[in-house]
Amino acid sequence: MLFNSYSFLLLFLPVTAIIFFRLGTYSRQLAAAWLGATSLFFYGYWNPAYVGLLLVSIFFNYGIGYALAREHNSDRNQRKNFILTVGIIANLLLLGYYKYANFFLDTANRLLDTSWTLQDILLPLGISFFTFTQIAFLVDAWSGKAREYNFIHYLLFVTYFPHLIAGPVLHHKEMIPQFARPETYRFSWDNMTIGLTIFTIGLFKKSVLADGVSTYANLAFHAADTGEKLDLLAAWGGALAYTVQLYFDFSGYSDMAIGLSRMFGIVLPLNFNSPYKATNIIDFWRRWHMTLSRFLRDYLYIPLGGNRKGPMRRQINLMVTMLLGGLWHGASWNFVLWGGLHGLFLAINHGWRSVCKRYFPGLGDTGIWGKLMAWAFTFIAVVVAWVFFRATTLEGALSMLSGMIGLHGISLPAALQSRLGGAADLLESLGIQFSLGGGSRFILTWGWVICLLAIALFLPNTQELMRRHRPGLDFDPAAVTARLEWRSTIVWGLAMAILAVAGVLSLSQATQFLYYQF
Amino acid sequence: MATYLRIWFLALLILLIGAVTLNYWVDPYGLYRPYSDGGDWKPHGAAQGELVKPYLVLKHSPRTLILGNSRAEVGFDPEDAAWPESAQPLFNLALPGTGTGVARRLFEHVLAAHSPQTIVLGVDFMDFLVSPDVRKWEPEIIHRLLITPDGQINNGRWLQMMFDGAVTLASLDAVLHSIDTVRVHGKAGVAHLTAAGFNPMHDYSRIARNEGYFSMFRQRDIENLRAYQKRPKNLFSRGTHTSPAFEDVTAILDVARAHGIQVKVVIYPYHAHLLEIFRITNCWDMFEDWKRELAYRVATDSHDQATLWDFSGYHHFARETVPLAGDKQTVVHYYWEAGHFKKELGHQILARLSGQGEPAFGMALTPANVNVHLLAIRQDGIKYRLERSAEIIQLEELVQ
Repeated sequence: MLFNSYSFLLLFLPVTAIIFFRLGTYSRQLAAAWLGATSLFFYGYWNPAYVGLLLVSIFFNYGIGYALAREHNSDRNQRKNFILTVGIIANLLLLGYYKYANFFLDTANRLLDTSWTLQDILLPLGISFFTFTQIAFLVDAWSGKAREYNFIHYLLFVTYFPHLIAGPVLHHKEMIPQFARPETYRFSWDNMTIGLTIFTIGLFKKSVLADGVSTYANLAFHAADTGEKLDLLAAWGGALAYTVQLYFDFSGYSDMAIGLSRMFGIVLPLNFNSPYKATNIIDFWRRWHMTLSRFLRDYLYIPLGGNRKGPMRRQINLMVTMLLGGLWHGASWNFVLWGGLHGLFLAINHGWRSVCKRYFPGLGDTGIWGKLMAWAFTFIAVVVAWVFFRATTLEGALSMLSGMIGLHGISLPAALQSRLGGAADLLESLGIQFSLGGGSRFILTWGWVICLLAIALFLPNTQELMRRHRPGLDFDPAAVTARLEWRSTIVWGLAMAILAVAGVLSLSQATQFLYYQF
Repeated sequence: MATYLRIWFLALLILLIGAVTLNYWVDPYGLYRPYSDGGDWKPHGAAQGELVKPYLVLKHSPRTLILGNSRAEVGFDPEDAAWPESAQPLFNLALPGTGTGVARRLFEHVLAAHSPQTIVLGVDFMDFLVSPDVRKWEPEIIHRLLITPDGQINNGRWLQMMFDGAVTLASLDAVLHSIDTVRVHGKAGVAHLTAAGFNPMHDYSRIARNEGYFSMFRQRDIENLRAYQKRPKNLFSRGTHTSPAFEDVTAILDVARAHGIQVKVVIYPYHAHLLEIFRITNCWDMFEDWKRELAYRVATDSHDQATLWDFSGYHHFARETVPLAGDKQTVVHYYWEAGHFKKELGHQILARLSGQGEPAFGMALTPANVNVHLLAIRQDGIKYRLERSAEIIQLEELVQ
């Protein structure tokens, strides 16, 4: 079920909330069970077949977690390690079978010139998210940070519908205490208002902004993937359209998840913090898909040794983490390349920092122009990497990049030629061609890109707007410099109603969230 | 907070009701309220034919039905003087970007409510170029039709109608389209879909005035070259002498015969540039084989209730000169570009279908005369290439 659908907004959400709060007045266990059951219904709405798989995964991991918790005070470390290893391998095997079996088989067939086949495996929705959430739980249980004996709470922790399909990736320790609080089960006007406001902003970002610009990103990448050669402006227009589409789609989804959860009194961790404002790649990864970055850091990068084993080993650990992070997004070499590129960017960033620290200690404070240049480098690097993330073929990605560096020329729509007057001759003398057709597409692509980039770069993000109302876990309102701030006033009520109407009116053209495919 | 929520909810409700009222009142797709074709333009109806025409045709109960793709939609005007009185009322149910599969389903849809007397079925060569492994697939449009592909009443249609209602009354696009419809009311050069389903291409007139016909021909020549280069060079499914597209034509002829409906199958009058593109992209032999197969099918399946009319060829209409680059004054009278003919040429076709018009324009094809006719077109083509060698060289250069 999609958050941006009539069935979710008009039926699922109100029915779930009303019964949850009614049950909450009698029995918290019953209310939690109800929320878990409706979350399973939410998951099975598209394909009930995989509810069984999800439940098997939950029972198995609960059992392993239970066994680890029982071993907590014992000194049988070998036994604990064995239980954890079994748990992690089983989770990875499940993920590997459903998500990567055909990918590895195709790769093997290409390398060995064989033709092994496996039946088409339908990817269970959200498998990457619920597998990672549970692996983190097992590791926490092994290290003694988590202990869970209440099955209903564990079921709810994994299946909780706001985060189940596309995150945020949650930690057991930040959720279970909230499920245990009595206030969670009591209706609160404050939570409902704040949740609804955050949800409205997310709905607008997804349904109006991301879906609005998606047409132009899709046209450009489809053209590149089918062998069409895009000129410099068309290629950049397509790449930037996807850059803003992905941000507004996924951050919109995350806002909706956070808002929905808040209606039920549960505060989720933040997932985005204006990533395109980052002035270096390290900063970018602290702002983009923050809960996944946190997971990769805590459960992959640090166990690999992190930065504790020297600079060279740190770079290798970073690269391994980013390559696996890329592969986590999908079974395709393009995702691996995307991850590899970011690993390389991070290595360069860390290397540059070391060089600056050692040889140019004053270079950190470079003023506005230095920051602008740092932002531009970072942004261009991110956009270039997104090309691999979005293109469906390697050839398509390389063709797009060829266009972006001008190998396919520069052209403007012929319709603009007559409107440019004498400037058109000047542009032609500079080698810019005027091509027939595509005038309105050109203008709309760049119109959308400029507007959405301006919103992403110059307006405060959702948590900055909601800073006085605890919009997410681990949020520090003191770090916010933006002036604009949401208040429960008539003006804000009307403004949010306009965003909500635009979002609701877009439901009839609703599309799936981009991160559902991962 | 509770007060804030009340204000939010009330404003949301008022705005939603306002949006639906605006969309119903302006009716940007021409679906709910009658409108005139003299300034009450529906620019977004023109782009939403697939959404609106299946509903509009049921309101018209047409005696004559036009089926086909965009060439038929912009070429055959139901208001044309060449239609005999007995053909009225008419509805142009042709849909851009669709093939014979959609035409077949739309025909069955109309028949479920009302039986027309005549259909004019435009067939396009491109739709018949298929992969040898092509399989029959059903278009999305079937969900809003009265009949399912297996001939049953479409019991799930109410769901699609509700969804279409939401799209046309309660969507952001509809609001933006309503505002745009009000903005262009009465202005010149605005796209439009008439109440009878015809697209008069007002917007193309404006583009032609601003950019000249050369630009429109050149752009579409490039697109057509690309498209025909990419199309499979094959007419039939592997190991057979048929394909889903041919089967659709046969099905239309069979159903029409069963209902006593006259069918006029029309091969469109492609401009010579497009005919040359068929030749340049090595499709010419298949173009001829296609006509032979159509002639055979129409003759065997229709029992004299159907006629195949071929208006393609190097006649004086198709040879109409394309203005030179930069010439914004010269008007092309019969074509918008090489693939789409104007209603003026549509008028000539309709006159021929009614037994009038230029006798040298168009021929009723039969298995007996098809080969002689094809040979004559080949010879006309040779003459055309000799006369317009510079133009042909330019076209051939576009392949690069």
